[in-house]
Amino acid sequence: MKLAAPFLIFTAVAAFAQSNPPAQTAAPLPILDPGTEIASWNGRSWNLANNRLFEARFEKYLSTPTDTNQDTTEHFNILSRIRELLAPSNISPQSKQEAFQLLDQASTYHADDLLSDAIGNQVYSTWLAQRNTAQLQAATATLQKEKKQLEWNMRVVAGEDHSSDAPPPQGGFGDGKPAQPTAPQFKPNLPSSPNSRQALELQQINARLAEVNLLLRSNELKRETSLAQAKTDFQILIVQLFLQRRFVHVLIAARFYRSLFADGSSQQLKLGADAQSFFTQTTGNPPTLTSLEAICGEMIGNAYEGVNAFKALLAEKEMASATKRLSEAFLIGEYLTSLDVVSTPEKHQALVFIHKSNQLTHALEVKDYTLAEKLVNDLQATAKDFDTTPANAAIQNARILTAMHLARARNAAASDDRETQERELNAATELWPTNPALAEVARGIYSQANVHARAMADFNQLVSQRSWRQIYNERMRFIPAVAADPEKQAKLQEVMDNIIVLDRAQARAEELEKRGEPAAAWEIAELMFRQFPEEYPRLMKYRSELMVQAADYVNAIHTAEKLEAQGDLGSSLHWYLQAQIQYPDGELAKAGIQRVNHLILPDSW
Amino acid sequence: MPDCRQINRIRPVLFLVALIAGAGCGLISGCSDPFRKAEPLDISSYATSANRLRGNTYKLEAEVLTLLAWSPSGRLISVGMDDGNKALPVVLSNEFDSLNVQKGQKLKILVTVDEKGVLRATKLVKL
Repeated sequence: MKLAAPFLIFTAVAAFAQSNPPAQTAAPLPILDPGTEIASWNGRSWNLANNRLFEARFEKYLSTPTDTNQDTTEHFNILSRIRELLAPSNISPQSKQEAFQLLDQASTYHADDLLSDAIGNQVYSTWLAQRNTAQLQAATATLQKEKKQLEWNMRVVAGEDHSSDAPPPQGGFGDGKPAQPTAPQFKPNLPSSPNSRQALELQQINARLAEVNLLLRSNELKRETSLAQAKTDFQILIVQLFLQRRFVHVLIAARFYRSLFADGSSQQLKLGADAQSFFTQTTGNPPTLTSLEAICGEMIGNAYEGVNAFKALLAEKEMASATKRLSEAFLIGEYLTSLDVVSTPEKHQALVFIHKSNQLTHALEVKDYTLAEKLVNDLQATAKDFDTTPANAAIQNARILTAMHLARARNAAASDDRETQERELNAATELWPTNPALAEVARGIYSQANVHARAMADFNQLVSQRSWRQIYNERMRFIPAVAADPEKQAKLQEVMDNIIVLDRAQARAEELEKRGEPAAAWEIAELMFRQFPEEYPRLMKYRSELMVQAADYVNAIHTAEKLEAQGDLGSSLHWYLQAQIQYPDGELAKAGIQRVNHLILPDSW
Repeated sequence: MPDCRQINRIRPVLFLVALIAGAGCGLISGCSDPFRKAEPLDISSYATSANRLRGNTYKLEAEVLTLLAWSPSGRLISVGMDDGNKALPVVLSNEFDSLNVQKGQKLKILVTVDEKGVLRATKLVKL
């Protein structure tokens, strides 16, 4: 795959470039799995497509109106001019100087972020290092000259050659050829003894020669170190710019580097061991200036292509893919001018899509399936390539499960199984906390519970008031309310049974009354009244009405009972017998006669 | 017009006839009401409170209505008076066991009001 290696390098490090020093630390470099878009670094993993830092930057880009002012264009033109001046075909001391001056000008633009200034500083530092090297070379030449002089003096003093006054021949630095002895430049005060004077002179020459050699070596080291440091600093800057995705600045810095150091194009970049290994593993080769330039060029091209793809997909209303392509282009070329061709309305469309996508993700995370469903519909309308399958599956699953739990809760409520009802409601709430059906069912259940509670309170009140007829009339309201209370259920059943018996008795009494048997009718009412001593207003009224019609019988019964109660058995029996004359089938009279008979004749039968 | 002698002879005869007739009637009457010394029962007083009449003896002439109860110690019957519009309970002790009492029979009964206000027959004559 064409883009795999550079894209891998870039995406792996880009997400961390802002907050982590690149390649120079001992920490391992990040690794990206392009299949899952997950980067692993320092024991942690990030999904690049769902990285908060990246999302924030991308949304910031989308919400920023497209920069259409002249500054951006001017800055771009200056950078292009610098690259042009440093192009291999145009390079000259003058073009280099002009490019250097334009760096200062480019750094004044906001979009530059002073990176051109950093390059300029590095170039200037390199020049200083190179100038220092020249000075060191001059000092070395002088020292070499003195060294040769000293060596010639030493040979003269040692008697090797006294004939020649000519100075040793001039030799180039580092040419490897031994310097020719020359005439002594100075003649120190020697001892009078020839041997001792000669020894002393040799000793002095040796000491100075050692000193000169030391200085030469020192200068050589200084020169090499200064140049190496300048190169390393420049390389670090280039890599830093690369990792910051400042690809145009990388190209400019690389051309400056190449113009300053003769080995620029071929020499490998001196990176830390981890960075070196990372570049080698991902690109297959050690990083060189040329490879970095190639990657940068490709990145710039990719960003441009990404933006074009975005525009094409947007025109087809394929927002999901369009936004993805734009985010990839942004990831690569956040600081490239190719991103500036995306208009503000286009950015807004992408921003709305991203907001809704993120909102959908969050809605699913917090199980707000109502909102999720609405967002899915919205996204489907605006982005025809949006994949609704996972969201719809989650929504449908939640809907089915909550419906099941709610059905169970309803059944439990109907059977007054509070424990199951609570458990099922909790389960439904956990699955879909904002489910409208949940609120509706819960309201219904608790409303039903309130109805039951109110019915129970009314029932208790009516029982205490002995308003049996009213209880019977409202029995449909009380039956479900007392279902869970066996005692009250039994009481309600008793009331209903009594009322049914009473109603039947009254119907019979009314029939007897119509047949002209008021005594019989009254007796039925009286017996009902005695069976249910509680006050039944309807029965009481009817009984009172009949009492007038069957006055003789009623009077006989009442008198008999009164005398019976007083122990006046003879009179009592007389009245019972009188009552029986009035209504021969009277139950009250018959019963009274039997009772009193037994009182009069206890052993009778 | 009859003379005075004839009138004087007729008067003693009429007187004698009248005397005989009166004596006969008195004898007959004394023989048909064996409880002529007893007072008849005032039903309204009895109905109001028999207890107030306890220990008294009354006579009553009534028709047997029904047998209310029977026991080894006696029978309790109801008798009707005033053409059956009034009914009274009467206890016939076992001394009257030999006497057949049936519905519709007319009786003359001498009764005593006992401690419970109940009429207990002490003498009884079938009419």
